[in-house]
Formats: sequence, C-alpha cells, structure tokens
Amino acid sequence: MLSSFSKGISSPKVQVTYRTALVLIGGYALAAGLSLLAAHFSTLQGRDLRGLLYLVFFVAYTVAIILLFAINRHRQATWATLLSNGVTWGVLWLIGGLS
Amino acid sequence: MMVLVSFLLSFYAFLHFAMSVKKHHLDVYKGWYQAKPLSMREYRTQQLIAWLALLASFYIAVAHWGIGIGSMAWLMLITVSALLVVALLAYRLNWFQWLWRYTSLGLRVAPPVSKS
Amino acid sequence: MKGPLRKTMTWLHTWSSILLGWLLFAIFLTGTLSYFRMEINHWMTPEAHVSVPSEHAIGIAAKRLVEVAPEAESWNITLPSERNNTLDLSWRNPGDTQRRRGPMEVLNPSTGEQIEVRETRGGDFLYRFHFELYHLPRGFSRTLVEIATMAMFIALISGIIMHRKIFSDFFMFRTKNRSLGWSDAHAVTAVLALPFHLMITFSGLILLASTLVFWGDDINRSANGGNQARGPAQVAAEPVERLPAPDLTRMLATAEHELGARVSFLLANKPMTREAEYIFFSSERDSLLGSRFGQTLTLDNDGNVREASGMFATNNQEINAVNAINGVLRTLHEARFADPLVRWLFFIAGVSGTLMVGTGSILWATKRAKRQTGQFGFELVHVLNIASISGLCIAVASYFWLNRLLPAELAVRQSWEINGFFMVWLLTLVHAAIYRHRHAWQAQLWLAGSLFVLLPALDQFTSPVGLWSALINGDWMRLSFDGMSLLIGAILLLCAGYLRQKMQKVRAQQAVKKRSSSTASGTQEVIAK
Repeated sequence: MLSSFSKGISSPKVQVTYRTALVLIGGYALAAGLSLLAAHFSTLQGRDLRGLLYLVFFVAYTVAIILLFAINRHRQATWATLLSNGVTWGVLWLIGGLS
Repeated sequence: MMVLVSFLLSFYAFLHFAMSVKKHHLDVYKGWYQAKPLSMREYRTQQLIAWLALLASFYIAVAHWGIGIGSMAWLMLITVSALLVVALLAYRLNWFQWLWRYTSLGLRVAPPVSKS
Repeated sequence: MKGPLRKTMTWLHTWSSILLGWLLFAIFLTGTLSYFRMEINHWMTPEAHVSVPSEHAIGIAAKRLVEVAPEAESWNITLPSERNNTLDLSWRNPGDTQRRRGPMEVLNPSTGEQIEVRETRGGDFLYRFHFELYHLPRGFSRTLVEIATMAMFIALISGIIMHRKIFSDFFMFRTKNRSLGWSDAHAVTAVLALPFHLMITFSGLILLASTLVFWGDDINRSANGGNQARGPAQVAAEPVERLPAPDLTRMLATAEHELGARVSFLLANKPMTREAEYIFFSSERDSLLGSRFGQTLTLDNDGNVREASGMFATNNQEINAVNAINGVLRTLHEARFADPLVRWLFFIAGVSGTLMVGTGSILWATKRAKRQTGQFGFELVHVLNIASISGLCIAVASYFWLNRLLPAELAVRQSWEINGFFMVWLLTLVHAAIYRHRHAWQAQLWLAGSLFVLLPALDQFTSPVGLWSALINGDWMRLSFDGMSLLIGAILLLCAGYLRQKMQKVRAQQAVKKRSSSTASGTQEVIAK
C-alpha cells in the first residue's frame, strides 16, 4: 500500500498532514494561476474582470482540492500538483501574463 | 393561488415518486392490499406521472414569478413538498396511505398486481 | 486518500466539515435569521408597533423636514412599505461630513407623532455576525468565514460524490422502526435542499471572495473608482437661493406612475434649491438582474423628470455573462427580490441547512462515542457541539428576551443586549462541559425550545399593542417573527423529545441486559421484542 516515496515518513499523521498541506497550497497556487490565465485571455474590464477572477478561482480551487485528494498515491499527487502548477504558471510566464 | 397549485402539483409529484421506490411501495400496500412487489409497469407509470406533475408545477411557478425568481422559488417549493412527503412516510404512514388511496392517479392507471 | 474514491470522499467530507462545523452552524443560523432582518428589527422596537402605515406619509415627511431641516444638504425619507411600517427621516446639515450619520427621526406615518424607539442593534447584530462575527478585526473574521464557506463547499461536493446515487434514490432513507435517526435527518435536510445549499454556499464564496483572492486589486480600483467618488463633494457653505417647498406628494405620484411600482425610499440632494434632485427608489424587483436598488427616477424642484435609471437605462450598461452571474448570485444570496412567500421558502431551506450542519456535527460525535469516550479530542468536540448548537440557540433566544426585558431607558442598552448574548453563550459552554455525559443536550434543547416557543407570549405582554390587534391591523412583520420563533422552537423541542425517547430506549435495553444476565431464561424472548 505504501508508496516508495513515503516509506521514510510512513507515519499516518505525517502523511495526512503532508497531503493536506500539498493539496491546500498546491491547489491554491494552481487556481490562482488558472484565474490569471482566464483574466489574460478575456476582454472584460474592471469589475467584470474581477468577477471572472472570482468565479474561475473558486471553481478551480474546489475541483483541484477534490481531484488532488482523490489520487491514491502520495507520489502521484505530488507530481500532479507540481506538473499542473508548472504548466499553468509556465504558460502564464510565456505569454507574459505575469506583468 | 397559482403558488398553491404549483405547490400541490409538486407534492403530488413526490407522492408518485415515493411510490416508485420498492421499499415504500411495500410499506404502503402492507396491510390493506395483497400486492406483489413493484412491477416495471407501475414504476414507469408512477415516474411518468411524477415528472409530468413536476414539470407542470415548474411551468406554473415560472408563469407566476418569471424565469429567474420562478426557478429559484420553485426549487424551494419542491424542497418543502418533498420534505412533507418524507415526513408523511416516516411518521404518518396511514395518512400517506389515505392520500394514495383516494387521490392518486397512479393507483388508477397502474394498480399493483395482486398476489393471489 | 487510500482506497476507493468513495472512501476518500467520505474522509474529506468528514474532516472538511467537522473542523469548522461549529462556525458553520453559527453562520447558517444567523444567516437564516437574517432573512427576517427587517422583521426582527421591527419586533425588537416594540415602541414602533403602534405605528400604522398611511398614504399621507410623504406629506407628513415633507412638512416635518421643511420645519426642522430647511437648510439641509440632503434629506433621506424611508417611506412605510411592506417591510417597514414607520416613516424614517434623516438629514445632513451643511458642513457635516459624508461619513457621519446625521440626525434622524422615526415618525408614525398616520399621525406624524415622533416615536422614541429603544436603543437596539436589532437584527443587524445577527446579520453582521453572519459574516463578520463580533469584535474581531474585520479582515480576519471575514477571512475566517470565507475559509469556513470553502470548507462547506468542499463538504457539499464530496458529500455528493460519496453518495453517487443520491438523485436516483431520492427517497431511499433507512427509516428503521419508523423513526428517523441523526444520519437520516442529515441526509434528508441535505438532499432535499441541495440546490439551495449549493447556491447559498457558492454565492457566499463569491460575496467574500476578496478575502482569499487578493490579486487583481489594481484592476478593481481603476474601474471602480468612479463609484466611490460619486457622492456630492464637500460644498462650501455659501448662501444659496431657497425655493419654496416642493410638492412631494404630487412628485411621489408622478414617480410611482412613471416607475410603475411603489416607491420606498426618497433621497433629496440640496432640497429646495435650483439644483435640487429628488431621487425616488422603487421597492419592487421583478428580476434577478440589476443593480443594488431597483429602478430610480430623478425629479427637479418643480417636479419635472430629470433622469431615470434601472428599467429605462438598460442600454447604457452592457450586461455580460460574468456580470450577470455575479449579480444573480448576490441577489440570490440575500433574497433581495423575495416576496413574503419566497422569503419563507428561503427561510425553510435555510433552516434545513442549519439542521444539516448541526446533525452532521452530532453524527461525527455519535459515531465515535463508543470507541473514543474519554479521549480529549472527542470530549472537546462533544462539549463544543452542545455549546455551539443548542447553546447558540439559547443565546439567540435570550438576545430577543433581553431586548424586551431590559428597561428601555437603560444607558448603553444595545451593548447590554449583545453582552447578554455572549454571557449566556458562555454559560451554556460551562454547563455543557460539566454535564456533558448527563443531560446537557436534552436540558439545553428543552430550554432553547421553550424560550423560542414562549417568545410570542412575551411579545403579547411587553408590546404596547397586543397580538390580536396586530392581526387586525395586518402587522405581518411582527406576526412573521412570532411564527418564525414558533417554528424554530418546535424544531428544537422535537429534537429534545427525540433525545429523550432514545435515552429511554437505551435505558430499557440496559435494564433488559441486567435482568437477562441475572436470569438467563427468557432472554431470547425479550430481545426478540
């Protein structure tokens, strides 16, 4: 059952804490990136744009939390978090949406 | 007035929904009707009547309040009527039986198959 | 995290909801009560119960304002309406700053007499508590509420996933022995009002979104700045030509005719001058879209139309999807459009949400009661459950009781009401901690239920107007409040009764066990029963 990654830190408490932190922080970053991406591609202005940010952020954060918790292995979850964040922020950086 | 009609229709719909569930079907007929377990024909009829009644109640709610408020108010309305049906099933099964016996369309169209 | 999706989701559902469950219960309860905020305000100012709405209100308002504030910078007139039976006047004198509240008066719209209402925060206290708690830094408490809302949303979604067949067997509740247990109550209240729960939670998230989403502030400022600077700038007090008093009665008729709706609020900028603006706000909304207020119509001092907004001005503001969704969510969350019936429906859905949160927390404890009794974590949750669920109900009820029982002239009266609320809450916590394994649940539920059920009686004896005359005069706001407290009280008493029944059952079983251990014969028979 245990993934090779977490053999060293196999106490259940540590694992749960690790996963929770990973999901909450990783999901937050991911949702933030996605909302910024959406903002970059939309033509909305001002308050409407802010509304879009909110909508995208909360939908994305919810989905991210559910999905990341649903992955069985810690290693997979870590990779999924890193990869999705990398792609999102990478694209954002490439198209210059970070300025 | 329109609201009351809409409410009653949705209540009627949930009455039929409940009777398309095996367990309640069994409970309700226990004691006054020697019925076999829920048949496919009964299930389909009950569901059909229920959906039609629900649709009608939605239509009336929207006609009364307009689409935006109407759909939201309708959701709250069916919440209340479903709650009522559940309460009847759980606490006052004989009232539910009475209602089913004397008001339901489903019983007329697709009566339960007798055991004998 | 390990095992099938269902198990993971159950884990997520449990922990995301229990950690902030008490806060969520408080948010749900006070929020649900806030649907009747105006009614609570009215109930808590019994002096205003003598007031009867009348058609002459506007004339009385005009006469009074010309008398006491002819030089005022602006007038605010709140006309009696369906949810307000007094005539509220306030004005701003020249030189006053925007922020400070100017002088205000509450009048009886039929007689024009001034009503001295007692000092109270009324329903506004509960309303504020709903999203800002109390006495905490505003930013912190809003963020806390937002996090709780997020946890609630996650709990809802994971709850749906863990019962995938939730919609197909809508009615399949395990009604063992014809009496619903906590888990059934949890499921029923959750499933039946699910659309409401999803709507209210997600819109709540959006309403407080700025506490978690803090990027994009710059975007907001640039476009929203116009909004903040809209109020009239500070004008140096120079003598202006005063015109004769406007005929507000005729203007109101014009406005109601033009708007096609009742007017509930009138704002007059620089009244009785050449630049005077009389802005009439309509009270009715028949759509979920639109700005904070309904439609408005602006007239000048002679009663000619200057401009109209709302229905007439839809073309100058393009409505796009995002704007629309956000607007709709806000309007829905606060049920601003609601007529009394829809308000009651929302209230019932809110009550079921409150019950869902409460039963969920109880469920957590009862599931673990056998294994973990005595462990610190379990005991803590158990005590907090009692204090935050039944205790909060007692505290809210005593807030209403205090409102009527504290003398009306008491100094700093409104803070005593609120202090009382928190003191009672603290007491229930202490009580819960001491009697947690005896009758704390039952005792507190009985108390809370009785307090709520007796509120109408209190109302009868401590208001200058009896309930019977309220019925005759059609004071529906007050009657709604009394009906609401009866409903809440009945639910609490039912819960208490259920607990007593269960306890008796457990006792009977224990007695049976004792007897069966002493006399082995006949055990089979008893257990079979």
